[in-house]
Amino acid sequence: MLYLQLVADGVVTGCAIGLVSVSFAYFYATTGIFHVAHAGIYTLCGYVAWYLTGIGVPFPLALLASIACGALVGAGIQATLYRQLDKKGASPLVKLIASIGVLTTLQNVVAILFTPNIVQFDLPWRLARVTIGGLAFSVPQVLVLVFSVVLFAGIVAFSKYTTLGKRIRAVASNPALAEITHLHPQKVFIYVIAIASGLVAVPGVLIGVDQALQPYTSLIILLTAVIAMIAGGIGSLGGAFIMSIVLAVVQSLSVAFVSGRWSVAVVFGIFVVFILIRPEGLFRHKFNRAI
Amino acid sequence: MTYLTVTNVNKRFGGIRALADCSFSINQFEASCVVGPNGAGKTSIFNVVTGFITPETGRIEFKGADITAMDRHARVKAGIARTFQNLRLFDTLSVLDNVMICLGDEAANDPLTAVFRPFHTQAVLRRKRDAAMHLLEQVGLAHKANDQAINLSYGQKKLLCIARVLATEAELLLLDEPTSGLAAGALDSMVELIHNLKAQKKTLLVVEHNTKIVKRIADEVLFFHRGTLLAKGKPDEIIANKELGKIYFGEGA
Repeated sequence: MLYLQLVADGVVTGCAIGLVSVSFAYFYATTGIFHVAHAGIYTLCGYVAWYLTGIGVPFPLALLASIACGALVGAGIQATLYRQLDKKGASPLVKLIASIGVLTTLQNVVAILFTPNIVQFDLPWRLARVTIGGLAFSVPQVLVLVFSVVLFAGIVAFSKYTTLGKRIRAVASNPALAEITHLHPQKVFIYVIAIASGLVAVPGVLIGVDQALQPYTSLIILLTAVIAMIAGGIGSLGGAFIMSIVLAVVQSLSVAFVSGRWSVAVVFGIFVVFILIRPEGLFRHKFNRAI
Repeated sequence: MTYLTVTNVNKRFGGIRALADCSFSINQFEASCVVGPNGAGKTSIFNVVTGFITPETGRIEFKGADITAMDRHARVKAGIARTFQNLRLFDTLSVLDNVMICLGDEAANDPLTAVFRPFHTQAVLRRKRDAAMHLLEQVGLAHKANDQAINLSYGQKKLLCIARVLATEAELLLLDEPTSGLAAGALDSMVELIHNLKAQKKTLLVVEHNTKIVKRIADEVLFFHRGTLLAKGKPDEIIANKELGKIYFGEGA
């Protein structure tokens, strides 16, 4: 039963990381920008929701507001920073460094505006527990599970069936060609980052509710998400989501065998071995950017 | 008024002069073929006209307007579209979507409109689908509409590239080696398609190696050598010219 509970906890955490991974992969596959600042938006959104519930805003509204905030900040980063760098012909490395700059700025702005300390949501229901088939979950965990699956299915359907989704896939599959059609890649980039940043707000808030918020912890979550994206095959949203769950389950299960301090090292060690054996990822046959 | 005029354009890549004081003009509603040996600057000319490279000096005018500094996207809007030697398509999309996505229609492209005016958006999408199907019929790919672009044969991909260019509603079409690598049957349908485009009042600038095809499609031939225009005339005159023939096949180089 202990193992099953560990697996269940891993699946929940994996779903949350899955959303981070999918949203990161969506933006990366479309623009080619290694948007590390995504972790900063994750943090910011968590704190915005925490602040709003703190001043008495109902939780659903606070969640919506933080999604909107994430989308706006993301769009702002694209419109001001990445677009300008694109215009200047900056290399991917320059964009990555700029993104790290934004991440550090966002983390520190959060620490200054709100607090640098660990905080918890003041919501009475966050400690309530439900039991499903002998496995115990907290209410925030159930929310994570439901939101992640629904949003993941939503983004896949969006990408496949809507006009904007197809435009995004077109830009991802051939950016240079998109530029000489009526596709407006720069506009598409803004939509993509707004969608990705709105999405990442959800795990940002829900994990914060389930555990706690701290301005500087989001990077390790992003790192796991990025590993899941690479292991899942860049450009495969399903691969990123599934690998996130696999990684989180491995990390969760490892606690049963080694000290908890080792769990992160175990996951990353497995990743290093995995990438040596299968550098192209699990679900893609070669490194190309496609959604 | 000349239609497209390129005046004294220069472009260097390292030590190589890709375009050397290159000047030429083409007439509206005609098919002009660009010929010349390898390294003559044919593709560079396409890149300069469509904004893929910026010339160091010189001027490009389209319908009387200076477009030298215009960005690529604006040139497509102004009516200049191109294909590439190495086929460029949206591989992961269906054949129909490849064409639909290139049809300029802002109303359906704006996600807010899609949310707040769903019926309008549906109507626009239907119209776009019909327009795209019409273009696919024109190039003879209607039966492949729902296939993924990546699964088409080489010849079919070339036809799809042309449908994609037509979808931008450009009036000046630059086709980079549209017939290279095509089997005899596909070659004939490409030539027929080019004639149809002329009949639809499109202006064509075509890079073409095969002199037989040049004779079949060109109203005028522009012969380039070492990045500059060497001769210009009717297809028969240029092809019959022995001096040019020597340059083309390397003896005079």
